Amino acid sequence: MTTAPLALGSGERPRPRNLLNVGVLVVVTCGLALFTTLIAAYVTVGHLARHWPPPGVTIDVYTGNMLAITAVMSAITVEWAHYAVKHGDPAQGAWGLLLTAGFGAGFVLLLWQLGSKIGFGPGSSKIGPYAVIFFAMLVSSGAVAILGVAAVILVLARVFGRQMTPTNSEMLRAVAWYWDFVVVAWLAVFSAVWLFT
Amino acid sequence: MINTAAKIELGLAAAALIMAIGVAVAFDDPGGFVLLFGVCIAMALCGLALAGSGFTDRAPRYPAGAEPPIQMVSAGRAGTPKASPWPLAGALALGLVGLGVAVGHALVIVGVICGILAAAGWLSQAWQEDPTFTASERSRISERLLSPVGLPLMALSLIAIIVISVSRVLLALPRTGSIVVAFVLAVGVLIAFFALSTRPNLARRSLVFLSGFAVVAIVSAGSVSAANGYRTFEHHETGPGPITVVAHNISFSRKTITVVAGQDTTITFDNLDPIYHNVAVYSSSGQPFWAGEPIKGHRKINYLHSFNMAPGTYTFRCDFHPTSMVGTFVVQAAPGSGAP
Amino acid sequence: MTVLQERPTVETPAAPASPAPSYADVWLDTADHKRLGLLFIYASFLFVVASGVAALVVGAKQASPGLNLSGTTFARLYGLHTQSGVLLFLTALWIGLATYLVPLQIGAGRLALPRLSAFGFWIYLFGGVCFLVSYLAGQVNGLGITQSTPLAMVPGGADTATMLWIVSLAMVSVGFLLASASLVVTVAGLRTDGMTLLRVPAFSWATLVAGAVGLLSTPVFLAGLLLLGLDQRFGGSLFAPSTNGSLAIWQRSVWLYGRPDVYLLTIVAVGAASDLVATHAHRPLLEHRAALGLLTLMGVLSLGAWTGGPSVSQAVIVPTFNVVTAAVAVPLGLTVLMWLGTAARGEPGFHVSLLFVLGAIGLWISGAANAVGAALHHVNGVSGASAWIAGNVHTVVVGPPTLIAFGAIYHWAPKIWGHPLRAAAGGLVFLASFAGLAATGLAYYFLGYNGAPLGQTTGITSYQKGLYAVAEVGGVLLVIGVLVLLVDLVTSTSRGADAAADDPYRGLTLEWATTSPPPRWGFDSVPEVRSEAPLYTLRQATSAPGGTQ
Repeated sequence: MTTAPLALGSGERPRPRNLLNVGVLVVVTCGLALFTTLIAAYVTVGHLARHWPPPGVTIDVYTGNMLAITAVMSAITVEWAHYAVKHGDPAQGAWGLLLTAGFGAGFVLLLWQLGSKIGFGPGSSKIGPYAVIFFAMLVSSGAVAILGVAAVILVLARVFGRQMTPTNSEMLRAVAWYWDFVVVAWLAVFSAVWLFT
Repeated sequence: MINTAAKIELGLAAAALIMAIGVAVAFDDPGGFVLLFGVCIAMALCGLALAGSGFTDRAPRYPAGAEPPIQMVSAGRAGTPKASPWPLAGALALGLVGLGVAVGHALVIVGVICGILAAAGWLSQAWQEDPTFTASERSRISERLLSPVGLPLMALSLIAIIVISVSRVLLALPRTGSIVVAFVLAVGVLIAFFALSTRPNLARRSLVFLSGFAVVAIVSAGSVSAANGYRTFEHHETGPGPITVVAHNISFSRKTITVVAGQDTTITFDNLDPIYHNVAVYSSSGQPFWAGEPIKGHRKINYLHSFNMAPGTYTFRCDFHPTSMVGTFVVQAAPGSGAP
Repeated sequence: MTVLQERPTVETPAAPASPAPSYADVWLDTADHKRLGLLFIYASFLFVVASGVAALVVGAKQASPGLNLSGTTFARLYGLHTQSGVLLFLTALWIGLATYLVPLQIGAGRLALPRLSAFGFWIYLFGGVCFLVSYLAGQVNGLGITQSTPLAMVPGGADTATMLWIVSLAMVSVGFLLASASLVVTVAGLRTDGMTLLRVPAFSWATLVAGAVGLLSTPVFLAGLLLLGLDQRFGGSLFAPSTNGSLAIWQRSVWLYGRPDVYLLTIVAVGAASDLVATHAHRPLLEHRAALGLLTLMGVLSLGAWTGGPSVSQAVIVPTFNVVTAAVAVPLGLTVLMWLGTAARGEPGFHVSLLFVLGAIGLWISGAANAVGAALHHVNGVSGASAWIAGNVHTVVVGPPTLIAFGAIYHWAPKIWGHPLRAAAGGLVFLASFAGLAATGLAYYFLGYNGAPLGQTTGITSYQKGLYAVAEVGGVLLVIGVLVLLVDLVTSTSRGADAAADDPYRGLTLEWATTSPPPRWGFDSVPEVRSEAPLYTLRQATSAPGGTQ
């Protein structure tokens, strides 16, 4: 037996693509399951409770609506940024990302305000199941949104560094998908607590 | 394009949907329905992601009996992942945040700062590994960004970190202890730089590791000290002397607290239980007048408050244990005010 | 023109190419799946030893005043033992094996998201350390996540140890989640030429299925931990007994045996055992696609853990806690039959790892038999749970995955460490661990039939005392088994001589097509895949007349 060259035809394998995108989507799936659990807990307790939300709880319609509007706006801007970069206009893409980061920061601040208003702290003596679940929803939304803003800023840096091109914008696509998840998660919470209670 | 992976995920989603409907029909259980339905949605999304991923099964079909010999596919080494210290740094930051959530608030802030640094490091490595990153790009960035903005910023933040952390340690220790620590620190710095100057050939990597370790050690010491509170400095006393209340085993050490109306009063509250307690003053009908900040043991807090209330008898209690931790709160008239 | 085909192991250069200079001996910054896998494996063994020591410390602290352990200390020991055994040890061990082997089995030689895996490992490590610290530093509230009723509330908020315990479990879970996300994307996106999804080896497939289910069930656990943490920290009343529905939330999101996670270890173990059996039978599985389908079915049925009603205590059927999940026995039994058929049709050669598979089958059979016994004795599963549960956990939930994990280490050791482990030591490990698990399991089964509750500390009769002694001996045997395995591992792999061949078993799957241990880049070249057993097909093509020239 002789030894012969091994590589034929196909040569070196192509650089795998889309791994980051699919990885982010898989992680997003996890995040959806997390919010699903919180909403399921909300529904479980609410279904069996006599009054839901419990007496004494007022639902802050104004802040809730503002949060939903901000979230939807940020989803639009991030998709706009991706579209612009994809079509060779990184300047517009940067503007879109900047706006997204701004909306995201506003979203987090509104969540903070909402959370601080429910009087949830060691000082309040009676903390019911409603407050625990609602606060858990706010904490989760805030956590994923803060991560999202960080990711948007990171990808913004790479847009400034001229690294997001129409042919190579995988990270931007991944971040935009992640941000869409943040928005969808909030809309799910919004519809559970504000719309269908 | 619907590939096999997508088909499987969508099938799983269908199974979860059937289970969700089954739960909704069989039991009166909307919570279970929401859970399984959400899982179904998530799986369907995963399936769509895989369908759009372009991950196809690359397998040529050969006519039966005429398969060509099996080829060897050269794997190549280009795709081998490069080492990166940032996952470790990021995990460390996340661990600090988690620890801070469990133990005290100071560590959360330290963890967040470390997280920002780790994210920046991770980004810069990804940046440099991008095929578009060339030597000219590197010099452009370092000229425009790193030298004018980054270096001063880093130096400033390093100074701030060291000053804040070391001062927290010195504030927390007793007087003699803080002198000893300051001395040891100074000698340590001297020895470290002496060692560095005598061994200029020390590997860059170990240098980075050592200094990173030193910063982390200083920050941890500082945050632990900040969480433990500061040593008490001399404090001028007003009113009828300092009042000490100790909470232990869900009861107060004293049954009566006496204060003078309108005078600045310090109540030193020492919590020896691992749970939250506080001191709060109510009228006998339950109307709240004042509530001290709740603390978790073992911690001490000085409540400074001026009780501008009508002289008389009130009750004080812990807001968390209103039945087992109660006592009498007496407000005396200020001398010379003419009240009875 | 075409090229002659030889065994790929002959063709891969035996002499190590000069290693790249960046491959410094720093494990802290590694993104290599082989090192990450080894880190997971070593950390899992570190935690099994450390948690044993921690248990001794916790026990010794309280044992000095009197000889009997007080109730709370027992609870803490029990919680420490079950959680560290299932999460820190067994899950991490399987993730480590998968991280090492799956990229090789699918011919990729790398992970899809290596830094995500590394991130996951370090989070797991810190979380595990925090977990042990929480038990050493203070009084963690309650029995932990293996108790079927919600954790008791502490008025005014829980202490630091309990909060640390909750946070540490969250960190460990996030670590597992990220590592398995990376594995799922690897199997989905990095398969080599010709390896369609349905040609993926059973172990890689099981990793994909368990990963997909785990990615959906771990966040549920995380959400449960978040609710629990807020509840404990602020003394809330979500998990108070007076809150309607709290039991259902607890059992679906926090309770270990109410989540699909219990079955995931079994799925991965069955996948690995399928590869073991096929390799040593020297032929592919009878029906490879059917085997993959059965593994998938087990994953689907594990989701059934959530189908219990809000009054879960009534919906639970003891052996498997739920009607749908009881059906997991069907695909499991069919897979075992397929193993037997594969062995009968092939040319089975003996290997010590097969003993572990046989032992696992034995434990499953004893679990099935005792499921019938439980029905006859009306054993109660949840409210006032019976000691029977502990028997079920030892023989079904963690016993077989543990045995098969040890078997997998013996099977893949030549590839992973470049040195085979000793067959005699393997036999000893098998005897000790199998006997230990069987003794513990059976003792608890009989305790359950005798009416003993789970976590019994009072009213122990002399008959029950004997059974507890048997269970304890079983535990000691298992510890001996682990120790022998570790000693064998250390001494065998540090030998200079006696290096393993690249393909010592005439293997079927691609991990045997590279050197032992593989180079950092995994493969120099991979044969094009034409079937679910590429090396088998390659061997047949080269030996068939006219297949080569």
